[in-house]
Amino acid sequence: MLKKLLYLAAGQGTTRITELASELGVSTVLVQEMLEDLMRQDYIVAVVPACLIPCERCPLSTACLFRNQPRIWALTQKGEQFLAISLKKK
Amino acid sequence: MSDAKQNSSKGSSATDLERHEQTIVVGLAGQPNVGKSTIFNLTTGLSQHVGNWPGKTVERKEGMLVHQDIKLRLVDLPGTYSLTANSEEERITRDFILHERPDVIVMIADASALERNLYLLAELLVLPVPVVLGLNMMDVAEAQGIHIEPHVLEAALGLPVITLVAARNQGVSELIAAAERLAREPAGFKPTRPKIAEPHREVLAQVRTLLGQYVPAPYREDWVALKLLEGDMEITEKARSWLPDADWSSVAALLKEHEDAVLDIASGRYEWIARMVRAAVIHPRLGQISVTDRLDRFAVHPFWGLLLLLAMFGLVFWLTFTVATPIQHWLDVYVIERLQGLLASGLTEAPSWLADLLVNGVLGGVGIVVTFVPILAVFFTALALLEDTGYLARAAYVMDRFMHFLGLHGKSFLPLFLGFGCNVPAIMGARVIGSQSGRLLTILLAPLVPCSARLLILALLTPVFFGNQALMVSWGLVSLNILVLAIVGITLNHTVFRGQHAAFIMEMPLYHLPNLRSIGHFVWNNIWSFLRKAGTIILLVSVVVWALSNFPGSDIEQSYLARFGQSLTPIGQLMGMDWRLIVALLSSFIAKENAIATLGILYGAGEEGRGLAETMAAVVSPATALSFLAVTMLFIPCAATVAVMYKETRSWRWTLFDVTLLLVIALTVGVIIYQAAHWLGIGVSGA
Repeated sequence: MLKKLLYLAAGQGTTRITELASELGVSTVLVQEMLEDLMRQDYIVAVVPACLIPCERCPLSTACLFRNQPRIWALTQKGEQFLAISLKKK
Repeated sequence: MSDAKQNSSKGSSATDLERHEQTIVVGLAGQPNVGKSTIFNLTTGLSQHVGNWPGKTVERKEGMLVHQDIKLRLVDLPGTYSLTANSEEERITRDFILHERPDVIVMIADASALERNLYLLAELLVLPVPVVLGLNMMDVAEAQGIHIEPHVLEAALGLPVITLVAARNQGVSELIAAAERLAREPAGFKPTRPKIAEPHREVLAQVRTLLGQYVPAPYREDWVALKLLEGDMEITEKARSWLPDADWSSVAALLKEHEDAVLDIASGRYEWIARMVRAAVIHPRLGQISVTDRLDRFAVHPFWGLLLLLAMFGLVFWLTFTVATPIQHWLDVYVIERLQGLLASGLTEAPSWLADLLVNGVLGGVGIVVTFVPILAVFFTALALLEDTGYLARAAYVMDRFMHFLGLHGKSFLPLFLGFGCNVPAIMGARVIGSQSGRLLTILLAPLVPCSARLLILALLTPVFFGNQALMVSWGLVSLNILVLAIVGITLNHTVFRGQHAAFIMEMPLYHLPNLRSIGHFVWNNIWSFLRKAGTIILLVSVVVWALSNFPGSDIEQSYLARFGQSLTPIGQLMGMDWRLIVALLSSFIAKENAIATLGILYGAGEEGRGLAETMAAVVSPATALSFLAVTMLFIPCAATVAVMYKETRSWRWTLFDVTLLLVIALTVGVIIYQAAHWLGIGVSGA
């Protein structure tokens, strides 16, 4: 299921959790749990939208349009390598 | 059953306990904040013993109770999410189960978040101990519309399931009874355990075989094999010490070859959780999530979502033109011009150059910029509303899909979207992109996103030149920027950078009612920042522009600025622009708003009672205005943006490449627009 989640995420560019849940036939809560797991295993990484410094320390925070942020994850190098190897095997 | 070694009971329960020789040891497990402590306190009352786990700083709580003449020793285990040795709490819990061998584990789960809690159960079930599941907070689950059928769950899991509302002491005695029953008859415990997903089942068996007889008690080789494949550091260290070198080498080789086995192990657990939940949980009624999902069918649809996004931009402009532009015009005509008149009459005794500087330089430049505050207020309020309701996150998603469709880098949309506020954070935000080429491409494209300062210029000038068509023209010019951005992005991506698609997973925030206080804060901060800019950089540039347009003589057409601007008129003529418009364009390099300040100074000497807009409309043709607006929207970014671009790329070569590219694009588009209008005979003469 986790591998399928990675394949789905990689195959669709940007995908929403609700879409992944629908494809996997599970709830969005379970997808969130799987993402936390993949993050612990270093296959994906949580991405702070557009910023590397916390909002509290950002001089532009008060003029920022991205306060109501979506949570975003991206593949890590390990995740990309895993997918590349898997695709070769297929 | 375990002998009663510890008994801290007091009072009547102590008297009862003394009658019994054996005690059932119960481990109370569960995630943090599921109500374990409440159950522990309810069942053990005053008969508690608090200490520390051996060699740890984590608190160990034990207590005694008697149920139907049977003594039970309850051990409150630390709250854990799993049983992999990631934290001290997790190590304590699994060591307790492995080494102290309790008679039964009572796992407490939050019924309102069952899926999150079942992972721990999946791990407990591979340990050699019977488990009872207590579903706490059933009232909260029901209130959220989550209906759990405990008997179905019990049949699916193959273990006792007791429903609870511990806060109201409901179901607690039934839970203790079930634990006591299972402890007395563990032979009947045959749960449905999660299985490792198919690809690595065989590997698990191989590791188990290699471990063979080397695994000492209390460990079991199947559990150790599983933990080795999961990459559990503690068990790996132990196994290395248990096995002879040759056998360990074989195990290590297998583990290295199957590093991804952890995914199949976890997948087996998630599939098991999904099966259990599908069997026994009926999920929510219509609510906030459903509303969000229904709205998202349109908001993030590849086609309708894009249309909605464009419509939203149109709406923001419509609101600006309808509400704010008339106020801005009123301020320009009735406040700034009257102030200029008052100031001029008050300075009759002052040197003429000083009066002219203050009246036409400062008030004519900065004053006109300050009249923009109503436009800013409406513009930022509209954007803040969209952001606070959760729509902008959808807009970002739609833009991202659009960018993928055009072959741009996936992560680029985040910083680029920030560019609608200001290009500086957009360029700084490109740090989020891992690949050097993707980051550089995003930095180069960021100035093509129309920032709020350029949108303000649109908001001021389009109603003057295009009347009822202003909305369409503004919308078209913003779309032109996006189109140019896409074309440049595709071209650079397929030639210079050879970009790749980045996989991305996004969780949208729920739609919700906006918070007026936070919107007010956002709008005020933006307006204050704008006013500070007006009082500093715009004021300075206004003074410089005034000085250059007033010296060496009184005739503006003979001024230094005019001479400089006239030297560029061969280029300007191709776009229908006179030297004033060219100078205004160039002054926007310092800060975009300076274009307006400069126009205010250079065209400000119009007839009394006419604002800047009308004065310009009288001398500038719509074709020229359209060309000027298009060039302004695509022109080289402001100095702050260029400085940040250099700071982020650490390359003058790329910075100058982008500035040159934007200059060429802006002038080319300006010439095409003007010449096309001229050729078609559209709007080539002034009003």
